[in-house]
Amino acid sequence: MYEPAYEVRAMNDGKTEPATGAKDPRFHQKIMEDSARRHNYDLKFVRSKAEMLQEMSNATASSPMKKGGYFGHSSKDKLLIDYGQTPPPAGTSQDVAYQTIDADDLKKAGVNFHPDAHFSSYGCFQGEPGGMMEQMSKNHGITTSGSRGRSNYESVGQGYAIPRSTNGYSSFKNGLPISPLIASPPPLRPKP
Amino acid sequence: MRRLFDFFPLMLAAIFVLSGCRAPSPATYRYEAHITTGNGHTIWSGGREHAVCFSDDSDLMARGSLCHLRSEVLHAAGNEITIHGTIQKQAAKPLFHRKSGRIDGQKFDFADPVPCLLFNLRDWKLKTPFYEQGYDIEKAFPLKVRHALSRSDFSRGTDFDPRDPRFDPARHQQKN
Repeated sequence: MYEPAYEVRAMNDGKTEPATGAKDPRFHQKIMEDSARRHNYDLKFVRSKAEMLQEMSNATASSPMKKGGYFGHSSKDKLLIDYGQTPPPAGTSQDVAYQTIDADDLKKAGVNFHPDAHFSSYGCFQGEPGGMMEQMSKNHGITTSGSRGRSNYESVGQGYAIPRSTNGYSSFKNGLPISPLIASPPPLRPKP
Repeated sequence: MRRLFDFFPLMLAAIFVLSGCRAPSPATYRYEAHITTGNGHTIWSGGREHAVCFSDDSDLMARGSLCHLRSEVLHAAGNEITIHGTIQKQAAKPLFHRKSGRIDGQKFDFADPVPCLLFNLRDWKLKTPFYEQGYDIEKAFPLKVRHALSRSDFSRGTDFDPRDPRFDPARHQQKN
């Protein structure tokens, strides 16, 4: 879990501690910590691209990843891990330094995938031809899935576990397209 | 009479210019905000969903309050929001969200490939009663039925403060 983005989100949304009413930048982390305790899974917090790649490399060194997923912002070929972090200057587009992760970063960091692994990215445009999911599938010889077009996350927690993809999800095996393995949820509201 | 003829070309030009400058009329559209990378503001028009960016000459209180409506209300399935205003033109560049950055010192464009309509926002309404999403992930985001908006449904931003005495949340409610 990339902490800085969630801290900014909690402060922007004015999240407070129920007991004291004080501002709580760790509001979202606490929800996830509670969930990890209840369901007995390891939750790792990271604060930079380097930390994230290191954690992924460490976690898969002795036990290769069989199933993985990315929830967050992205472009076609990059995970934009701090896209939601820095507030933009009022009213205009901005020019800031982003931390991004691409398929080659995962390869260089030595992230280890099981030959039968299925990695899905739920970020925007990741399943486009030539996109990051195709690249990862080619680099590691694994199965991947990603969104064609934009991903809309408001469906998550409202009856669906994954975001809706505007043009559906596509899948790849060894860098080649295969039948889609993920079905996109329908829109939350009917067309007017 | 001669004098009138002297002015005739000028009158003709004025009529021509005025007829060409007729401003598009404001209308009401269904609005949806998507949690996505880039611009999430959309309207439904002509049976299609279009991305919109709100123009700087919009009603600033309406724009600020809509952009700071908390996600627990904004994104709850079943809530219906309409916006009132005018589609001005296709914006050359999406506004209100970051679109470019630098990676290793080189400028990188995260351009949103979705074309954006520039929209002059005059007002917006949330149909009541409406839902508020809870945050308990074990209960799959429970919904609470609400009948009125309050200042605490809005967050503070550089361009909007829900504590502003001129801001009236009730202005943005519409009984279903």
